Amino acid sequence: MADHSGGHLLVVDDNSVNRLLLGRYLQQQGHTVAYAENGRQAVDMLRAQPFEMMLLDIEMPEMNGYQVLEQMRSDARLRDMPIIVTSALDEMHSVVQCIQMGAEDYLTKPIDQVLLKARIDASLEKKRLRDGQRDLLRKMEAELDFARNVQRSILPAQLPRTTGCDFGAVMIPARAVSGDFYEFIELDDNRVVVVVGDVSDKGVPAALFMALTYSLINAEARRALSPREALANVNRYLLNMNEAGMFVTVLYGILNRVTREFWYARAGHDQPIVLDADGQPLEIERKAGQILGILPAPALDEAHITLPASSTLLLFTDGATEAMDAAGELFGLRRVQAAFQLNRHASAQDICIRVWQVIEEFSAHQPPHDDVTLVAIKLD
Amino acid sequence: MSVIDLPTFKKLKNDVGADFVGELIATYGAETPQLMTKLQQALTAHDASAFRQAAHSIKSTSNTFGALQLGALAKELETMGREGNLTNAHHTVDQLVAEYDRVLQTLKELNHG
Repeated sequence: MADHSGGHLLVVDDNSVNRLLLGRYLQQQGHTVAYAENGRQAVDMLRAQPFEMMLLDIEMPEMNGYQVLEQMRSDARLRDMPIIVTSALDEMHSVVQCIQMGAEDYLTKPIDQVLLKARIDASLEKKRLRDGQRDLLRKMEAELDFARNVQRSILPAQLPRTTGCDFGAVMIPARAVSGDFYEFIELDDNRVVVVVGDVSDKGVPAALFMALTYSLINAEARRALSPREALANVNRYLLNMNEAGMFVTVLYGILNRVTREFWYARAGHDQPIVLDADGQPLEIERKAGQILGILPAPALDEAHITLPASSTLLLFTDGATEAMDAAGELFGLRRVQAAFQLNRHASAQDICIRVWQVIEEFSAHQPPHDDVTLVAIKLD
Repeated sequence: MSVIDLPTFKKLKNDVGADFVGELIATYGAETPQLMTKLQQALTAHDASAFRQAAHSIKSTSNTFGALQLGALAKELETMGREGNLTNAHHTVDQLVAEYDRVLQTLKELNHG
């Protein structure tokens, strides 16, 4: 609904009768009015008080209408104020010039109060709509910033320092905030929980759901349950809290550096790639593994892998396999594995960076449509 | 041409009320002589710009009240000022002063009527 409520307006005219009469019309129309006798006074008052609009006479001594418009144009705080210039009937060339300099509309004197109301209402409505839009944008940006900071504080600040293991991780969000996450939880000197997850949506809703899932997983991990039990519990909580119907894929594994066992549960997520000392991929049995957050009792593909000595493990999200080039072709699992194999001699962190670079080159810097997460673990 | 255009005056009175019209007339009566003094000073000093500005202001308020003849005279003077040719201005200025007296008198009478 249009907002025509009264505003605080500035009337600028060197002629007392004109000021008085215009002010009267405006007050009758529900506005409050302040007055300036010349351009200089007008500019001073504009800088001192907030006005919604100005009615500006063009012909004035000591700083005329043009000069006022000039001043306002170069002041960021005043630039957007709607201005209606008032002029004599034979001054149209001046009016045109004023409009070119930023005036929004004009009225000829003697001023007709019906026209006055129409022009003022139109200007105020536009201004208020613009102001509303600007406020909304600012609020959205602030919320986005907030979500981004929450996420930044959630992701592991440090990589684990488990003896005999080298950890690496990168996460590249598709937008300002992401739905991907990864986590390392050191249970003791020998065991680390490694988690990679991917929430179904993107942007702020996904970020919130991601933060929720992340917190639940952290809570469960410290109870040292089996991976399957941990994810089953997380799922139960997500079911209760999940009104938006969002879901998440998770790979949750406990790495034991002494036994070199990777004991994991897989909720609809990609299997890890394990390369042995010669760079050959391990065959890993794949059972049913379903997403969390929707089903009451999802299948969770629990498995134990014994990792060979000097093997390397790569966990990732489908942002990597589903990265697209300009022709719409997918990067795919084979390319992920190939890039991984090519770079397996680098440090765990460098492996992640270099695989990401291969993906980026493939997608030829197309805007990414999903978050990409890569986690690498090298065993001695 | 009558001194005051009655429809214009009536509309003004309708729009803002007789009391406020009284206020306007009082302000007009205070301000216009000052403007006419400026006009004459500008004429003496051959200051076409100041002359034009004063004439412009008188024209503006005259038309507001429906004092069309006065407005027309003021417009003539404004044009002289814009063109920088004040040679024959004093004659029209005298007419302006005389017309103004009639206008002010008529306005007061109309508003009390």
